[in-house]
Amino acid sequence: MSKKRSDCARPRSIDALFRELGNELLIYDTRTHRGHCLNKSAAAVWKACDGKATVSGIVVELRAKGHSGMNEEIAWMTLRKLDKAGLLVEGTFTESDGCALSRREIIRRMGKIAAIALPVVTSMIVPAPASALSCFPLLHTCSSNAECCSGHCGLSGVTLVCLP
Amino acid sequence: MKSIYRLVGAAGICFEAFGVRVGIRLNDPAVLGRLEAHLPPGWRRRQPQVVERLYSIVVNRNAARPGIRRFHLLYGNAQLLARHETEAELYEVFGTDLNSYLAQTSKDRFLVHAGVVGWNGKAIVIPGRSYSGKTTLVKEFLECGAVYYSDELAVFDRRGHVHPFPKPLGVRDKATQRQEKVRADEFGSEAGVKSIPVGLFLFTRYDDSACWRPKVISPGRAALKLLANAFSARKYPEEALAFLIRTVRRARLLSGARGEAKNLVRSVLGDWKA
Repeated sequence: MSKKRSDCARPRSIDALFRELGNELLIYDTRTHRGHCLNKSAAAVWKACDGKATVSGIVVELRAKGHSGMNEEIAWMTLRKLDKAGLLVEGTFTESDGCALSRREIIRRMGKIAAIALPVVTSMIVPAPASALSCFPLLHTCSSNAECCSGHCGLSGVTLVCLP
Repeated sequence: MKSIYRLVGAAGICFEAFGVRVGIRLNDPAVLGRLEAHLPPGWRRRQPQVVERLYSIVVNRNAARPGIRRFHLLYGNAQLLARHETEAELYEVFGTDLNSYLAQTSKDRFLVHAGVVGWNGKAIVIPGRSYSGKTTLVKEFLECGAVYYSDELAVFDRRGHVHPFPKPLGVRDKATQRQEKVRADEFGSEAGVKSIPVGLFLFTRYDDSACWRPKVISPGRAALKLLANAFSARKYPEEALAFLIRTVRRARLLSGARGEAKNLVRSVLGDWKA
């Protein structure tokens, strides 16, 4: 008997800092300095990705834990989102695996009420400290135009500084 | 550093702010009084000892000569940060650099790029980077009677309360984009003196075609948006996550594009529940 596609992919989540906040999961990837917020459904799938469980196994596990709306379509959708966010180890999950139903198609099939359980993954880059600052005032040393309030980083003598 | 030591050393100060020890060395003791205006609120003088960052300020008191420009110099450790012909501008650069350093290295306080005002004993925090319209909103809140906490930095403690950082507002000239410093009392407002809990986080950006119709966002998404405006998140991510989770749990969390600041402020204060 041939194996189902869902039995082949064994997704594994990356090592990252994570903290629970109510039903949500905050994840900080210290390699890429990206922060992610996963809703309840997405968080449950991410936690189940241990590199050993198959996708169908993950669905069974989550249903047993009370995620009654979980099915393979939603699991695949979640894995695609997690992979796109960089939260899965490379090679344990590929885009061609599983079905490719869009979120819209799944909502159409499930109905709007059940769609509340759909996974949501929000990602944001945490900038380097200089980028989080306000701009540099005139004559502060700089390395690019973007750092200066005036928008102009230029030579003054032998030093690059913010110029009018 | 040895070459810098030769230039300075007539006077100095060691102080602590937000749990970080900083030193300043000067070649002119008279400068010390003028620098105090640029130190962060709550700074405390300490006995001279090992510091985490050392500023050296070299003021050029040579007589002016025709055709020769006189520069004052500012170093951060061994790096030249700025040189300027007027002391006032140099001290501005010093203040900015100091705030940046403290924001990145403090573990006692968690600093986020945000405007903050106080209303009925709670803080309204407006996270955002440069050009996001924070100061415009802060100004509008002050004109409605809010208490001024900051237009630049929200300083959170471990309880999630926000402390005052009432430096003069940096009001930007629309034509030149240069900032003019304006004190809060020029708007008829008082500055906050004690820490207060956060009542509302406002995540917004200006859009001239927008109407203020905010959505309530989840604590997780709010924490993520704050993380993107936090100075020390990359250096101390575990502490950053802990701070953020503590602060967003009890506050209202609104997000949306805004048009005129007046409309947003009237809406927020009109809906305010104690």
